[in-house]
Amino acid sequence: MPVNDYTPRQALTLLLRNIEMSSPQLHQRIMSVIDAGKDVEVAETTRTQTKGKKKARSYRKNVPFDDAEAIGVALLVLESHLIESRRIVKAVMTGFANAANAPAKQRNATDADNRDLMVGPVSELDLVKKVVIEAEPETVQQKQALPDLPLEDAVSTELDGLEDIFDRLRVLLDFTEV
Amino acid sequence: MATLNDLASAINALLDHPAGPGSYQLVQQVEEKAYEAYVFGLCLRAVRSLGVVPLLRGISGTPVPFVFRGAPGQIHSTYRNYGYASFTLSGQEFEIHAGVEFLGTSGMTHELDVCVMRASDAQSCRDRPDNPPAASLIGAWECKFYDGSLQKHLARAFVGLVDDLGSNIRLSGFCSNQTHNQMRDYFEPPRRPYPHLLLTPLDPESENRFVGVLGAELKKMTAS
Repeated sequence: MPVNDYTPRQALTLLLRNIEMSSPQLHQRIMSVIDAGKDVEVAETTRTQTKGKKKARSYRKNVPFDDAEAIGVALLVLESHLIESRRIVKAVMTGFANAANAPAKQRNATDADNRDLMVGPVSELDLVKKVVIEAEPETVQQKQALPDLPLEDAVSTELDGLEDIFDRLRVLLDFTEV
Repeated sequence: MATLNDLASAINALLDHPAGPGSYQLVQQVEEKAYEAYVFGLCLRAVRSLGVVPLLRGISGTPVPFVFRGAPGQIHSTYRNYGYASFTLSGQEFEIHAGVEFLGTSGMTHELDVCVMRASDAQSCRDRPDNPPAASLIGAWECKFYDGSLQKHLARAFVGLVDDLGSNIRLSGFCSNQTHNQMRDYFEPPRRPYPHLLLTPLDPESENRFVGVLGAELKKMTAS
């Protein structure tokens, strides 16, 4: 028995139409991943030419997603860009907390006795490091003095409640019959 | 039974959320490079796991802010105060870089998303501008943030690149937050990069594996 009073096609159309109105770029990303299709293994049984015996074989084939699968792909793309990418940026900050800024005039990472600098009295370890992505690389011919892209800006928006919305959507977009 | 109105309400809640699709442009600008920065951060964590504090440096001084290259570049470039990290293990000095070009054994240059190399070679290439030789590498990682199934050509290209890095390199890996159902098999033969697939903060086990593999190799090579 169906769990929803709408079809996968109706749901997919509604989802994609709304995403397109909100973010045409994200809609384009979703469509390109959906249109890449999927790789499947096809099994078949053939009869050998000489003795006519049945022989099982398989081969790989690229096929389009069906509507329900395309919905799953769309949700995956949305989660990758809206949740996972922000978690990655947060993890960069965590990773950088494992390092300290080198003293201004000291080149070597060892002290005067050439001993390794061990975990301990490094005051800057827990400081939040400012990490930026260069927006205008060295080789750009006509530079526009674009400002760097601070990673922290990408995580400044709170994710509170977003995962719950995705959980709700997953339930509403589940077409498994009961 | 759920109705189309229920679905429309849930979709509207997504669209209205401050971190919803309307904010995509903000993350889109950084997410690909952020994934390289993430793997760079995992390298820092691996070093730290050995009881050593990696130091953040810039080619022209203290890296405040720490600048990641927006495109592949030379290790000796002073166009910006590009950031890197250094650390010392058992008296041996190493550096961690992102987006730096190396000279392959064929003479062709290759960009490495993230790498660990011998500090003496890095310093000599800064002192006397040159691309570092592949022989100076300890580890090299390709980093791909993807939102769908990975493209097979990415794996093929990195296998070819690693082949041109010679036999000195001790670790190489293909890192991505996504996977492809044939890729693990492709990386299976000896001397092919390690498939760090589904390497993401959403899977702490995969992060531990990356940190453990690098930490163990650094420990092994500096043990004396």
